[in-house]
Amino acid sequence: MSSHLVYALVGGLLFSIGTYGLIVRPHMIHKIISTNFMGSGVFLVLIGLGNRTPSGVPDPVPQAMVLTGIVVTVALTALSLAIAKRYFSLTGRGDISEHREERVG
Amino acid sequence: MTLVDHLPAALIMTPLAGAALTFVTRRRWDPALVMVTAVVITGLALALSVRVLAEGAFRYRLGGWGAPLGIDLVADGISALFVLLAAVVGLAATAYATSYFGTGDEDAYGRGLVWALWLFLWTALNALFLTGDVFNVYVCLELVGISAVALVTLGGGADALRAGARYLFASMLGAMTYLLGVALLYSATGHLDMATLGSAPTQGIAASTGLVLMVSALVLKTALVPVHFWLPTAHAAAPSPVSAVLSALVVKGSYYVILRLVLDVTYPGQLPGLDVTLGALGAASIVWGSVQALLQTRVKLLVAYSTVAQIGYLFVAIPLMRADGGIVGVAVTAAAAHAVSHGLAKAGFFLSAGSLQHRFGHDRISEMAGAARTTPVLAMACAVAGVTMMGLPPSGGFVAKWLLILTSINVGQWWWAAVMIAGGLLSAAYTFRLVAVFVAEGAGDPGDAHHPARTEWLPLLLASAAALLAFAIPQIDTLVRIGMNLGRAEVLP
Amino acid sequence: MLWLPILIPALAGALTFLLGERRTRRRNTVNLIAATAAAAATLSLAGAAFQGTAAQASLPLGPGLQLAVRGDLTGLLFACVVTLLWGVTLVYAIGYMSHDRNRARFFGFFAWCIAAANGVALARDPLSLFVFYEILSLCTYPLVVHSGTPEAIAAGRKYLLYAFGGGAALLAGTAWLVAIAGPVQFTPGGALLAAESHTFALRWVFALMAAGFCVKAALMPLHGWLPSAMVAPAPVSSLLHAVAVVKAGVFGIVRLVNDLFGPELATSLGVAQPLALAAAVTIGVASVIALRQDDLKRRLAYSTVAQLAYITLGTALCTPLAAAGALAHLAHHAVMKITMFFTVGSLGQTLHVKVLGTMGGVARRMPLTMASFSVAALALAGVPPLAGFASKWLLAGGAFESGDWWALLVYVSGGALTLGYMVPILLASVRPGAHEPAERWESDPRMLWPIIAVALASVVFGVSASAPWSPARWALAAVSPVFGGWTP
Repeated sequence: MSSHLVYALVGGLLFSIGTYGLIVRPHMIHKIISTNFMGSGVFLVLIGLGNRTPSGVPDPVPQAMVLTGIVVTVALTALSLAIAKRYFSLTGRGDISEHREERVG
Repeated sequence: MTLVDHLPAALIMTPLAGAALTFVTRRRWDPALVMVTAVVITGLALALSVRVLAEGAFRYRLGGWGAPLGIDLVADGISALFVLLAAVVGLAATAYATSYFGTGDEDAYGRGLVWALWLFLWTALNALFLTGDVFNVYVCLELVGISAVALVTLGGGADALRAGARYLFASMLGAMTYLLGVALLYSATGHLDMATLGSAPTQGIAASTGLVLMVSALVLKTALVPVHFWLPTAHAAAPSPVSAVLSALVVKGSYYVILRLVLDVTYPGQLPGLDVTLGALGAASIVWGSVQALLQTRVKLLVAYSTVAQIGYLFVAIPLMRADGGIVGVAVTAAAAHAVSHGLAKAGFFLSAGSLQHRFGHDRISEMAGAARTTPVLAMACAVAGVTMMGLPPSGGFVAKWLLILTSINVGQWWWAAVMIAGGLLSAAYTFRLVAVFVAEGAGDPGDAHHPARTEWLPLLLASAAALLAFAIPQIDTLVRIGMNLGRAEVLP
Repeated sequence: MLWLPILIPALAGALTFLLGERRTRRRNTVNLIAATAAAAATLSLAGAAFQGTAAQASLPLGPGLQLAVRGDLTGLLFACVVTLLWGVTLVYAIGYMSHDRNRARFFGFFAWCIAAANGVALARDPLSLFVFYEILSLCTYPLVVHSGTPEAIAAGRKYLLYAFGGGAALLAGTAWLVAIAGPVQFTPGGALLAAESHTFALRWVFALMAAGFCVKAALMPLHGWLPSAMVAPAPVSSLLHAVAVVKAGVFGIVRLVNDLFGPELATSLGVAQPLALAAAVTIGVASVIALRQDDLKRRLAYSTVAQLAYITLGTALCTPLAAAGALAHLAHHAVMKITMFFTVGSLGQTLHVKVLGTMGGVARRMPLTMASFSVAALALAGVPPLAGFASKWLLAGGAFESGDWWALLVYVSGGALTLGYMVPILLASVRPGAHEPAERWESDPRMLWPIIAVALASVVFGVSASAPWSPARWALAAVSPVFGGWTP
């Protein structure tokens, strides 16, 4: 098995772990960490799978995609941390599980 | 090259420049600056549509690079139509927002941040509608997400923060999944440009998996049942002009990308299970969203669930678009017409809900009796918007619904027609539940504060535009067919 | 020009809304001018139609879709009834509603209902008819719930259930029709030649569309919304029961049988006979129920249900005279019933009399009103030479023609039952009874003169039924092309 495929598979594993954490864990910090897991997973997949130029020169496009993705993920992480901090200071809680009041008006 | 040739770039740069300028100018001038920007953008959008109608679709090479190295902006009928929708709704919402947000105290509204975010959102939407590259779509989706979440949480209360946080996480889940799909697609085909992807059939397990992942992610971002959970609270907790833009435009953004994938990137007959699944989920959305709307006791939640239901129609159109082994043009026109009329009507609905909330001090439906007498313009706006939701004449929604029903009978998939007719009845139920309260005897609103006239008339204008859109459908049809499917597969009438 | 009967009331409605609640005189002026203009337009279109030139117009709505109108005799008969009675009802309503708080809303939607009804009348194809039909449902709702009381809201909810349920059936039927037969237009004698082989589908299309129309036409058992809707103000009840909504329903049936399927196809498919049967049953049952109603408006409501079934029965018999009688009755019943509803409204507003039991002494207090009512009641029962007799004569002739003796029986017993539920009202009014000392004799003149006018109409239409401009003659001319140029 080529090493690139290992990266890709690990990336997929990370992505799944992150998805599980994002959906299941109620605490916001856990969710934020999970999204970073997902992001890293996708980047690994991009690098692992995307190395395809026949002449042996590394394909620059996936690298560009990963760099862009990292930047976007950082910005989003910053926003989510800001929201988490503000929410904690307002309510003293960190989990955003559903409250019964907000469901049926 | 003249200005007209640079329209796609101008449409993205103008709101961005406006946003940057709001940081520089005095806080007092911000509303005026934003209004001017909005008017300019609307003019540009109109110019784009005129250009596309007159000279056909065209591609714009950003930075002169061109695909496959650079990113192309594509201006064909569908993109021009959505950009125009964004412009009209954005203009109306901006005019409303200048009164809603005001320039008062020290909160976030007062610090002028809202205007920058507002224009950032507009930038991102225009970019999303005009881009021709699947990775660029990811970037635009994330931009839209950031701006929208920030606008939702700007209200500041714990409710808004919680709703915004759930929205943010759902958005990120969707975006990451989408990116994973793009990764798989790229590894299989080596292309990111939509047109190139479309001309070389995207076969193979990796490509198909990638496409499925991308569509699933977009489905999450468009709030299709059963992954709609984030939308009602987010749209209800946001300030009303923001809700209007969210329901009218932001959900249409991810739907637009699905349209692109379905029409341009996949070839007819590929992934047939996808069509039926999307259609079935759309049908479920219609029913579930309407039933939930009926159960709500607050106006904004009712309107938000109505959005969930109406989006279902857009997805029911998808199996109809790809029936018969080609692209059924009528179904695409119907979906586009529905998206546009819903956008206008829903914006009007949310704006009037916001005005009602301002007047009454709350948005509990049961305590709004008598509103038809004290605020007739707002009650009428809600009713007229409801007519589009119900798909009754006279409205663009009716024409769209009729075309979809006719198409579904014609291609032999009549069950979609049955769902849509039932959906119309359910929409009538929740719309008239609201209207009945307005008409009932009651005190109406306290009516002491002064409210600018435009907070009343803008919703009515938007809702009426949706109603009168019925007469503009032929033009929409012409526009939508320009450049449809890149002229590839056979476009059936 | 052909759009005027629709555009004028629509514009008037919009202006009424914009003028708002306070500018009463300007609002009334706008509406009255519009009513006159619309009447003029409709009558001149009718004149042109009699010459043989049926104008057409259309507006594109989408790929393969259009909103189309045509001014043929059948449609213009209905449109003239609607538009002329709009003017009369306006005068009455201005008087009746003079103390209401929401008049702008009332008159605005009133005008829009007229526009929609005219649209139904002039529609050239099933889809256009459906468009206007649903607009009519939408615009009548605010009128039904006008007073805002809990009973009104409940009645409104019932109305919506029936109206939109029927609308859904009509939508399904129309879509199916267009799918199998293409964008057909109403053609006298039927327009479905090309699709004749799809008998299974056609039967279901007829059933769906008929169900949709029969809800508004209050055919049993789809009539439930009508008696509850009596909670609306009297001008609305007159509008609902005489002019716009219910007549739109039966008009739809007329178009369905005469101009879409055609009498021959309807008979050969076997769909006309069940319709006729249902109509006959409705006549009997509704008349009997009317006998037992104490509330005056409900009595009139059930009478309307029965009388509308006359029109349905005549159309479903698929013979020339019967069809002509049905159309004539559409016009005649409108004038007769509107007189009665105006009267009951007047009694309620001026004397607070709503029930049979309290009607004593009314004839002395409001003799002109009650005299007009009596004329209309006798006309309804078919007493010659009044209007009702003319249409029933044609209907009976039709039954004779086709050999449906049972229909004759239905007509005769229906007439007897009509007398049965009308005469007690007349008798009750001349019984001795006391009412508050009269500050004025009779009622508000704005309510009185319309009543006299429409009562006179029921006399005139009957007496001069053979004049070329009478509704009876008009109906005969209108059905002639349906039966291949038949002449009496």
